Amino acid sequence: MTSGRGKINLYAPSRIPRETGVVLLIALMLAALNWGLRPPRLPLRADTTAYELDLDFPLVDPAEAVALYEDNVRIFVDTRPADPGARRIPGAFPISQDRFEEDLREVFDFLLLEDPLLLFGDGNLLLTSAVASRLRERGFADINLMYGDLEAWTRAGGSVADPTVDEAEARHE
Amino acid sequence: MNDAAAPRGLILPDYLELLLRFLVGGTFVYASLDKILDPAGFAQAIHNYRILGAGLLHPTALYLPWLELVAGMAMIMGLARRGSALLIGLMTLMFMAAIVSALARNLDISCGCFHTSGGHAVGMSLLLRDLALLAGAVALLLNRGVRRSF
Repeated sequence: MTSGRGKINLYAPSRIPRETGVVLLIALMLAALNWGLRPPRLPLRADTTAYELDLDFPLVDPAEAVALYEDNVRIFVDTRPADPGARRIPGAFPISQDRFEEDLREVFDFLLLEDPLLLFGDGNLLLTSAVASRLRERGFADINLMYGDLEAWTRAGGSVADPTVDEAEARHE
Repeated sequence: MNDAAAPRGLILPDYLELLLRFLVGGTFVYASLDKILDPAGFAQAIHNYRILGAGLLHPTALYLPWLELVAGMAMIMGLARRGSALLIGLMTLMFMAAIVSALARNLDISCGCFHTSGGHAVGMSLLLRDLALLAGAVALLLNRGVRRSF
């Protein structure tokens, strides 16, 4: 915008929306770029239960959990209710809320109190964190939780074992 | 330039304008850094205010720190100076509204202003600090002094 003989009027009101728009747009582009390029990505829609719980346990997103699994850094614990036919993460120890004592007795010889654990469930962090609290009461100190369910794990590139397929293959052989 | 054509508004001395730009812009740049590095922690801080729903929580946590950074940098450098002053003023007003809302509901939370965990508890001192920032932003928005940029 000009005033007088071609001089730029720095104080013209029309400059303010334009400048505001430029700043908003640059910030949007940088935020999008940062979100796209810097993992782990925060999902665009929040799972507010993760915040409501005010958890004491660090949360790990599925992509990060897959990396931990592949590096064999943490021992995975499946907190979903027992279901022999359900798909599972290979090598994960089952310890569910409804069978906590029995499950813990069965795996206690394989787990040390100082072992770093990563608990996952069916996406309901309330259940997973309940199991985590009980494990902490028993002396396990290093516990992380994965948010998201097995579908999210699979989407992040994690491998799963399917007992029904395994059983069919075994019968076929 | 005759009186009729003279720009209306505030005319700040150069040194004061520069000082305000560094103080207000620098505050926003500093405030943005920890939030950019830890968006999940910032989302938790926003959630503590119990204002935004699931749909807006993460987009706000991802975008707002970058807006603080870009607006703060623009203000310091004297680029898009009045646009960035307007945005910083609006953001400060929004923060003040959030603090008043938390105080009205007796929420005992940390503000999440500069750091995503810990930091100041929400209270009147924060409102006064934000009021000072708002005054600085408004003065820069209304300033008709000589434009200097880096």
